[in-house]
This record gives sequence, structure tokens and C-alpha cells, in this order.
Amino acid sequence: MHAELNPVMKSSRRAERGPATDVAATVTDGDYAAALRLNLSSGREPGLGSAYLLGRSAVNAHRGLIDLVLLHHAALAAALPTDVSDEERRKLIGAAGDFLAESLSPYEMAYRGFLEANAALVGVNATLEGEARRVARLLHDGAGQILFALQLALTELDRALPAHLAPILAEIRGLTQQLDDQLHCHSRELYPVVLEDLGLFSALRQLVEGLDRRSRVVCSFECGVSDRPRAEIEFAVYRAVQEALTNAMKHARAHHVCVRLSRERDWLQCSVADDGIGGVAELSARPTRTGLGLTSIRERMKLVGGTVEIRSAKGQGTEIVLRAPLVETRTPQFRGTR
Amino acid sequence: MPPTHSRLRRSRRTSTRHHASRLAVIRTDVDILTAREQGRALATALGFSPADRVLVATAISELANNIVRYAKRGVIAVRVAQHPRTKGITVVASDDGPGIENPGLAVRDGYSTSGGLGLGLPGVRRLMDEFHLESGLDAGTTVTVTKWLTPPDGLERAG
Repeated sequence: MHAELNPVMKSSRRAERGPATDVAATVTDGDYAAALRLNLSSGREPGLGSAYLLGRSAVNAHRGLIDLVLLHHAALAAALPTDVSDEERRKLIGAAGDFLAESLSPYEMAYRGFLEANAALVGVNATLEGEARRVARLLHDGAGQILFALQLALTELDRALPAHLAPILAEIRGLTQQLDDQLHCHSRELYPVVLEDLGLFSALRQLVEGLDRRSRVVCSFECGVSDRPRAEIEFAVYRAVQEALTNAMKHARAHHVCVRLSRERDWLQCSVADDGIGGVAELSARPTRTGLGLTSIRERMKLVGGTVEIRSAKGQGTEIVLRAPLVETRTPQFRGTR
Repeated sequence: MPPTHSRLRRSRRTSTRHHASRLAVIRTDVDILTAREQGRALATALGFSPADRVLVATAISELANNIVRYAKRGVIAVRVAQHPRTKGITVVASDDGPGIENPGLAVRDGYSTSGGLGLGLPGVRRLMDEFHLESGLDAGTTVTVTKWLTPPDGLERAG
């Protein structure tokens, strides 16, 4: 096959197979120093050609970039003659710079590959999210509406039905309600359609009130903010609160949970506090479901430039404070070589 | 052929004569250095930045190494690429070796033996502005890549 090549260096084969500790030695410091010396003392292209091959096998061997630069620095210090004129010295240092640039070229290739892969990943993520949104919409608007109509019809039937059949109908209505709850629960897990329809504040209120109704935990919601934040902030905060509430319900053994939204200058602040067993730090140190939940909260908030603070002393409940910037900040973008 | 056209052709030939197409027959590692040197010289003459000159030499190395490794023998040609708004360098690497069964796969990461590190043909594709691969089983392989001095609109790589 004609797809990939290996540098013609003796050690590269080993580099591909061996474990990381072994491959670090693939480009030996001696190889690099010798090639640099050769480059400084003789013709240009042979030296540069071997610099490129050294860099290539260093990439293959997972040798760190900084490590390679430090190796270059040491090799140059050793190779630079002391008994030459300043002019000659400048020339040699310039040639050594060219040598280094050449050996870093394979890193540039790998780096561009990383940028491309990253862009592809972001694209895939957006596609998946869009798909989840579409299915959630279908469940919510399609199946949800049919179920609603069914419930109305059952209510009507209730009025016309003989009394001895009422218990059966009550059971049917109970099951239909369960179906409705499950449908909404799954649809919301896929994508909170309610966010688009109602905005973050009403959506959170609905989420908290639903939990309050369905569980034995008393859930309350306080909102001191009026302006709707950007869509991605709404999405991140909603998902993070969802996770935090799930944790509180499943693990905290709490009696009360309170979700509180406020604005602190340019930050949206959202606190989810419970009066449960606390000690989340110890819990999340172990790879439990709780730990996973906290990780996903952190990741969601980080994605929109926000922060997460957790106060959870043992026996004193847990408070998770989410902060998200209301003002959009642009991260500087690296442009490449041009 | 109308006279104006032939005069145009002649004048263009004169203007790029000092860095016209150069050929290097590739059989061994020493030949790779010749091809790199020719590419670097043309890139320098065209006014490419030092960083871009390194990238052109790297692309040539990758292509020439493929020839030595898989086809044993081939040719690398470097020439000036023309565009109404800019100039560039085109590298054509061709061989009549065993060829690639599935050229579409060969330019994807993970297919190569570098295990998705982005080297090899996928790496060359990212270093240059244009990439074209023609190959088939027992039909040899020709890779044509171009780097523009300033990438014309719409020719820039996506991403």
C-alpha cells in the first residue's frame, strides 16, 4: 500500500510497537546532536532532510514538543564552536534555527490534523444535539399532543360512564398519566424543548414544580432575574440544574431542595441547595454516579465560560452554585502560519 | 492559432523561464534531497515565507518517501502554478508502482501506519492548499499538490 511512510530510521519500527516508556528513547539525543552537527558543518539540504526525518519519528514516538526543543537547545550549545567570529556564529545559529524548524514540521502536520479533527468533533456534536432536539420535539409535540387529546376524551367518558365501571376508568387514567409523565421525562432528557418555548426561568420553575409534585422532597424555586440569557447559557444552566437536582433526589437524602436564580453584575448565578447528608467532595472522589454528574455539570458550565462552586460539608447539606457570564466574551483565535 | 495568443504564450514562457518546471527522478533517499532542494529553491524564488518553504519541503519529503517505499521508482516535478490573482507552487509526484486500491481511504487519518497522528498523505493534504490523488491497483499513483502565495478566495481549505 502506498499510503503512509516511515522515516528510514532504524528505530522507527520499534517506536510504533513499543510502550510509551520505550519509545521516548527512539530519537536519541545523540541522533539529534549528530545530525545538527552535520548540518552546521556541511551542506544544507542533507541536514534539513534528516532534521525532518528526526522530527517525524519523534512525532511517531509521542515525544513531547518542548522536550524536542530543549534537546535542540542543548545540542546547539554543545555544537557551537567557540573559536569563530560573531559573523560566523550568527550564521551557524541561523542554520540551527532552520534545522529546528524543519524538525518541527511534522509536529505542524500533526497539529493541523488535530485542528481538523477538533472542528469535525464540534460538528458531530452539533449534529447529535440537533438530532436529539428533533426527536424531543416529535415526542413533545406529536405523541404528547395525542396523549393530551386522549386524556381529554377519558375525562369526557368519565361523565357518561355507569358508576360500576368508574374504577376501571380510573386505572386507565392513572396509566395514561404515567405514560404522559414518562414521555415528558424522556423528551426532556433528550432535549429540553420547554426551554425554546418558555425560556430558562419558566422551564426551571416547571422542572422544580414537577419534582415537588412527584417526590416526597419539598422543592422550591425563587427567581430574581427578568432578562433571558443567551440560548447556550440557558441550555447549559438548565442541564446543570437538572443534574444537580437528580443528585439531590437520588443521593442526598434531603427533605428540602431550593433552586435560586439571581444576577450578580454581569453574571447569572444559580444555586441548587439541599438539606441532605452533604459530603459530596468525598463522594465524587470515588467514581460513583454522583461524581459523573458533577463532572458533567462542570463541563457544561466550562463550555459557556462559567464556573461551578460546591459547598458540601458532611452533615450540612449541599449547595451547588453555578455562574454563567451574561456578557459574551470572545476567545482569541489562533490563526496559523499565514 | 491567432497571433495574439501565441505572443501571449511566448511572453509568459519568458517571464517564468528562470524557474520553470524541474524534475527529480526518485529512487533513493539522496534523490529525495534533490527534490526537496528544487522545491525549496522554487518556493524561495516565488517569495514564499520561510515557514511555508519548510512546509513545501515537508510535503515533498512525504510524497518522495512514499515513492521510495512503495513504488521503488518515480518522478517528482515542481513548477509554478498560475492563478489570475496569485502564484503558487505545484508539486507532482508520480510513479508506476502498485498503486492504491482505495484512494479515498488513503487520505484519511487512521488508515495510515502512523495511527492517526496526521502524518502521511492526510498530513500533506493539510499542509497544501490543493490536493489531488489519482491511483488504482496496478495503475501507478499521481499526487498533485499546490500551495498558493495567498490562497485565492474559495480555494482555502475549510476548517
